[in-house]
Amino acid sequence: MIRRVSATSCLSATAFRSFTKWSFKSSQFHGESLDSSVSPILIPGIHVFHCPDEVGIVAKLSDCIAAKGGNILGYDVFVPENKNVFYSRSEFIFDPVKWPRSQMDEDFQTIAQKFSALSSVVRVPSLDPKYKIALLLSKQDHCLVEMLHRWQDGKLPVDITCVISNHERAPNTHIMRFLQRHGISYHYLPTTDQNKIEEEILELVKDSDFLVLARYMQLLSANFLKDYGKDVINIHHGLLPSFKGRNPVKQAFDAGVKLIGATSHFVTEELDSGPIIEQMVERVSHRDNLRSFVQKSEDLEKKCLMKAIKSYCELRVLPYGIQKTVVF
Amino acid sequence: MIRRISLRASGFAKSSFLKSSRFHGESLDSSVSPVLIPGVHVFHCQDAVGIVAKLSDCIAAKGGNILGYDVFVPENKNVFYSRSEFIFDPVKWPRNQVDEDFQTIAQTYGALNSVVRVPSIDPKYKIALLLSKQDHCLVEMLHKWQDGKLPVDITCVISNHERASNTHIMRFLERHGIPYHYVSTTKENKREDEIFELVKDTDFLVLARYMQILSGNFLKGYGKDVINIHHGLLPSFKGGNPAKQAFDAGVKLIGATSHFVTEELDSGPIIEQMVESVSHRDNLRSFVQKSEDLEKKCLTKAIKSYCELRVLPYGTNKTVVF
Repeated sequence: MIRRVSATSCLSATAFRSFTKWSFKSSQFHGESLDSSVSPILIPGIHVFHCPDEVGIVAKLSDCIAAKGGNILGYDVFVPENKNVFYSRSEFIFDPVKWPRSQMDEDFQTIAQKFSALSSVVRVPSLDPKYKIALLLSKQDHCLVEMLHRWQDGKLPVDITCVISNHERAPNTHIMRFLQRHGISYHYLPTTDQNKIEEEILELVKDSDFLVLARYMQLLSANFLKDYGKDVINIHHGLLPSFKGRNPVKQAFDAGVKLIGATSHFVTEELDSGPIIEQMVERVSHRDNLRSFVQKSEDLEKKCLMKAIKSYCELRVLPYGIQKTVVF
Repeated sequence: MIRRISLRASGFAKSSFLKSSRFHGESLDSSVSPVLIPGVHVFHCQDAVGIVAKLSDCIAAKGGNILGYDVFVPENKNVFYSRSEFIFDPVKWPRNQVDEDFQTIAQTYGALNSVVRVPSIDPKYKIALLLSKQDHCLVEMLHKWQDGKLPVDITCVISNHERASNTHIMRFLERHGIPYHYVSTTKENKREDEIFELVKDTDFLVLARYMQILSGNFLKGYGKDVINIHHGLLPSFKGGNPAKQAFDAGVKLIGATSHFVTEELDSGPIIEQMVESVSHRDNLRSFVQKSEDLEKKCLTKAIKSYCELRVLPYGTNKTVVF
């Protein structure tokens, strides 16, 4: 398996710059100079917090940031009605000299313990390693192609560790040439009714931060999900909970609906039933045939999956209740 | 039952989608320009070469001017749909002659459906509205009707829920002479015979949040179209409390669906669907509020399309909506 190790390290300088281009911008205007002749470079950080609700959380969190010279540029707090739970997401800029990365982890951890947080995650995109993801797909590759192109354009802030498919692809196809050019390995793992090759898949993906099923048409068992232990995001080409399972576009076409959609969601044991992250629709009418239903659906899947992954990488997606998500 | 007969003619000319025009068409007599009035014709038959030519020629031969024309022939299916909007001089082309002429063509092509409608002459569609407890859809329809935006005659309102006489709806209905019939239902008795008696002379029914299922027998006995509004994005969330179902499911989009009623609950051919975004910041109350706004718009749009002859059956369970 060829990992893009060398590329990662030499990209780090560019990564910083490409991040600042499309991410919320690093700024030289906020914050103070340590030394009047050198203005510090401030870099962005994100913190999400999820804990039982009580008085004083925002005060503590914001004070933690301010005390180290960090400047909060955005803040989202959500406390649902009649539920004793607190969610926040803050975007701030800070001077990593004044507030070293490891210190930041410690400081937030202290608050997390104090409030018995269910989740407290800090991310400094320009310093932290990119999320490592593996992509799984079957025969339809429009979602994969979209993701690869976005990734190449720097719009998908991840490291693609490998691509796994239960469908073989010839080396002279667009995808295979693309992957080879970028040193991303492609693993053909054919599945059968009896054998879903989950152990082999687990070996390949166990070091990834999360998985993306980009039209992977095999069910991942509960055992696999438990062993892998991390999030798996799927794109379903239907507006859940309508049209679960196979061929939702044909189901929609036969049902005579006037709107079709796509849904990205977390994968659970139960098919197409995990917490929904994002949904998108488009109008259809009698003038659409199955072909145009499929075309509109594919366009929606690409946008919907990209949006979900982007939100996830930006720490915008949090679990809410049993079956829902908060998406800041 | 008091009908709004005297107001009907002028009400249509105001609210109809096509203005009567003095610019198209020719004068019979140079000193009098004819008043041209709009007509709509929908045609549904087996496909063949020459249908459009025949239909358009039929209209032109009588001096009618086609202002809009929609034709739809589905892929790989031997069926033809068209809808034409035209203006014509009723002196040159009398109303009953219009019927005859189109009927001839309908027979030529063994049409499954050929309907002509001249909104300013033909009687308005007579409809009955049924509802249960939630009345936001009914209120919306009554107000649109009052504003002349819903080109129907409301013959009566039927509900399995009693309403006090000093409520907005009851005072409105009384002011406009529309009777309200409280027909309470139980699990054993849906009182469909009585409902049938009240609605048998209507052109179609509108279920504006009527929460009882109409049986296959009733639908067969009534024989005409019944339009329902379902406060969910079918086929998701059929049945009761779809807003709560959607809320619990954690969807990010909620919707409303208007459809024709069949024996099977919430499963008939869909006419119109609308959606709105929801997020974690929505509680059940705002889910319901957004849903109600969607229901009103969706139902009104469906009824308007239906009255304008835009809705045609397509296949077993679908619709063409021009």
